[in-house]
Amino acid sequence: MTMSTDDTATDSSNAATEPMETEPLLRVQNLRTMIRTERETIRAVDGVDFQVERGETVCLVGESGSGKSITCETLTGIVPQPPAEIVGGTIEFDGEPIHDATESERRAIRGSRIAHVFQNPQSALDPVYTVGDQLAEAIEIHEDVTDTEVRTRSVDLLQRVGIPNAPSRIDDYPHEFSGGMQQRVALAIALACDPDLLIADEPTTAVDVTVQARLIELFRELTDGGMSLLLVTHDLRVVASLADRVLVMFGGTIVERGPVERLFDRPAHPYTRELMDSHDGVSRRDERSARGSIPADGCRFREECPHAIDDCGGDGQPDFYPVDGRDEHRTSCVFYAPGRDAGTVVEPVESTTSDHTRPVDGAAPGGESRD
Amino acid sequence: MRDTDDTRRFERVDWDEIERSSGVATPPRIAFVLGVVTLAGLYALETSRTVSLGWQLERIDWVIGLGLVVLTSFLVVPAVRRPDITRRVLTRLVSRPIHAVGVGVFAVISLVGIVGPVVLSAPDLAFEHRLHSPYGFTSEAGWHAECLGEIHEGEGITRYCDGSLTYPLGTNHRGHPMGYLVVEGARIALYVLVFTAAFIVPLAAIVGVVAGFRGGRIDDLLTSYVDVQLCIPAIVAFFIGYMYWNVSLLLLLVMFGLLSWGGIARLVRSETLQRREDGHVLVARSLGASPVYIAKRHIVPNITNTLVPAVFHLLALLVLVEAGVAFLGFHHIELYSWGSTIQEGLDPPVTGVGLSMNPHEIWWVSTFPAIALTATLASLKLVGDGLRDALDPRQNP
Repeated sequence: MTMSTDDTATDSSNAATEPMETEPLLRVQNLRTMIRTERETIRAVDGVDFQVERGETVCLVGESGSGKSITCETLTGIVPQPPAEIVGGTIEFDGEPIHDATESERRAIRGSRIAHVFQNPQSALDPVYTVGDQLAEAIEIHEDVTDTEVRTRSVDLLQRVGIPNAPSRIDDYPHEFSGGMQQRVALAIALACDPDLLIADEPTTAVDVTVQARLIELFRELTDGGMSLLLVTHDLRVVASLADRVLVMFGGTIVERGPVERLFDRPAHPYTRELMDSHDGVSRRDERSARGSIPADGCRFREECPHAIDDCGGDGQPDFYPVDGRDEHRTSCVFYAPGRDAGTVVEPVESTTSDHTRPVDGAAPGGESRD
Repeated sequence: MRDTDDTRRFERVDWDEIERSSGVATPPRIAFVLGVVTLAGLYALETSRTVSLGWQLERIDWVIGLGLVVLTSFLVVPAVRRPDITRRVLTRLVSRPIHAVGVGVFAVISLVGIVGPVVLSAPDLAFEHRLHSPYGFTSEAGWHAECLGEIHEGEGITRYCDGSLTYPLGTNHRGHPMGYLVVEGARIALYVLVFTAAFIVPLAAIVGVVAGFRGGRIDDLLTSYVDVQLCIPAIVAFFIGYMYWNVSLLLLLVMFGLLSWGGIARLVRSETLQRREDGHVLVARSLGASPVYIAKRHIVPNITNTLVPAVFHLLALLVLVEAGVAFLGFHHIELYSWGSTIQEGLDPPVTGVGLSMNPHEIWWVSTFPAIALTATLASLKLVGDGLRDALDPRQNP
C-alpha cells in the first residue's frame, strides 16, 4: 500500500523536524487503527499525524464515527484489542516512543503521565466503591504512599475539581453524587497522579450546560497550570472557549489543522466549512446511513463534497497544503495545492438550495445529501 | 507498614495499599500458607504413628480442614482487616427481619454443627433404649427392652412408655439419641457447605471470570469444556465411583461438586461479558490497572448481584443432594446424615424383635432431621438474598 502520509507527516510537521527549543509533549505520526468485525474491516484511524505541545490544548473535532475516540484510546493502548488492532504509526511521548512499548510499560504511563476522562460520568465510577476508595486506587496503582497521604491527596483532588465539603463526601458512593459531580470526581481520579497530558473524550457532552461551563473553567485552570489537554468534542462552543489548536477529523483522517482563531475565521476544508455551518444547531446533513459509505482512500469527504473533482481520489488522502500561505494552518484538500484556486471551495455554497450543481460527475448519487 | 495511631479509616486504605503494592505477600495469602503448613504438619504427625494425637480423623476431615483454611484466609481475614465494611455488610444483612431470621437460623445450625460434635461424644449402641419417644410423648412400651419413663396402660394389652429427659428428642431404632443424630447431620451439612464454598465456588467463579474477561480462544475452550461437563450426570458418575471405591462423603462431594459448577461458571461468564464493557473498567484500564487487578477489584464485586444468590442456591442444592443420596442409602455407614436418618424414620428396619410399626408411630425419627434440613435450606436461600442486597451499596438499607 503506498500512502502519501509519510510525505504528509514531514510536510505538516516541518517545525517539529527542525531542531526546536522544546520537544512537543506528544507527537503522533501516521497512526492507523483498524476495527475488525466478522463482516468487514473498518479503518477507524487511517494515517493520523499531530502533536501536542506542553501546556497546549488541542481539540479534536468531527462528527460521530470519525475516529476521534479511537485515536485517543489508541494513544495509550486502551482501545479494546480485539476487535481493534493498531496496525501502524509512531507515538512519541515526552521524546520517548511508546507505540512499541510493552503492555506493562504502557500501564506505567497510563494514569500517571497520560490520563483519560470519558464521556459518561455515570458509568465512569465503580458503583461498589466509595469515591475515596477510587481516588486512592488511582494514586496507589502508581505510587507507594502512606495511607494518610493518600487521604489528604484525595481530599485535595476533590477540592481542586470543586466538590464542596470534600472531606465528608469522600466516603460517599458514586450514586450519591449528581451527574456533574460524578464527572468532577472522574476528573479528580484522572488528575490523581498529576498527568502531563489529559485526554478528555467528550467530557462535557453528557452534562448540562451550567456544569459544562464550570468544567470548561476547570480545564482552563488545569492547562494554565502547565498540563496539556487533548480534548475530543463535537461542541464548537467548547472548542472556541478552550482550544489553542484544532484538528478536524473526518472518516479516520485529519482533514484540517490550525490555530483555533484561524479555523473559526477561515475554515478551509469543505468538511470543516460544513461543520461550521451546521453549528447553528440545525444539521443539514443526514445520518451516516443515508449517505452511503465513506471512501477508504483519497479524500474521504469527496462523496459528499460539493466541489469534488477526480483528483480527490487516489491512494492516500491529499497532502496538507498551507491555507493562505500560513504554515500553521493546513488542510488536506487538493484545491489548496499550489496552482489551484482555493477560492472554489471558499466561495459560500448556497447551502439552502436543493439543486446546486456539482462541478464534477464522479460523485456517487449517495453523496447527494442536501435538500 | 501500618500506622497504628491512625484511625480505622486510614487502616482501611492502608489495607488496600498492602494488597496492591506488596504484590505476592498479602495477608490472606500469608494466612493461607500458614494454615496449609499447620495442617500439613498435623497430618504428618497423625499419619507417622509415632505420636498419636488421639484423633479419629478420616480423609474427609483433612479435606474439610483445608477448606476451612481457604475460607478463613480469603473470607475471614479480609473481613477482619476491613471491619468498617464488614460491619456495614452485616448491619445491612440483618436489616430486613426475614433476612435476619435466615441469618439467625443459619448461625444456630452452624454453631450446632461445629460445637455439637465436639461436646457430644458418640453414644454407645443402646438397643435396649431404642425408639423412645421425645419427652412429653409416648411410644409403645414393647419396642424397647427398658423404658426410662413412666409406663402406663393403654387399650387392650398395649402399654405405653412416656418419653424421658434422658432422650429429650427420643431415640431411633438403634437407640441413638435423636439429638445426637441431628447434630451429626448438621456437621455433615456443614462439611458439604465448606467443601462447596471453599473449592467449588472459587473454581466456578475463576473459570467464569477468566472466560468472560479474556475472551477469544480461552473463552471458547473453557465454555466448551463447561458445556461438556454439564452433560455428565453427576449421579451416574457417583455410582460409577461407588462401584470402584468405598462409598464416602468425599466421593459424593467430589463427584457432585466437581460436576455441578458449570451453571455458575456460565452465569459468571455472561455477567463478566457485560461488566467488562462498563465505563469504570475502561477507566481502570486508563489508570494503568492490570487485567488481573481489574477482574478482582472491578468485575467480581460487580457481579455479586448474580453470583451470590447462585452460590447459595448451589450450596442448598448440594446439601439436599447429599441428604437425598443418603436417603437412598448410599452413604458411609458411620456418617449420620439427615437424609439417612429421615429414611430410617420413614421405613423403619424390622430388625431385632421383628416388630413392625408405622412411620407415623415413630414420627420423631424422621421429623427432627427433616425440620433441620428444611430450616437449613430455607436459611441458605434467605442468607443468599440478604447478602446480595447487603453487598450492593446502591440498595438502600
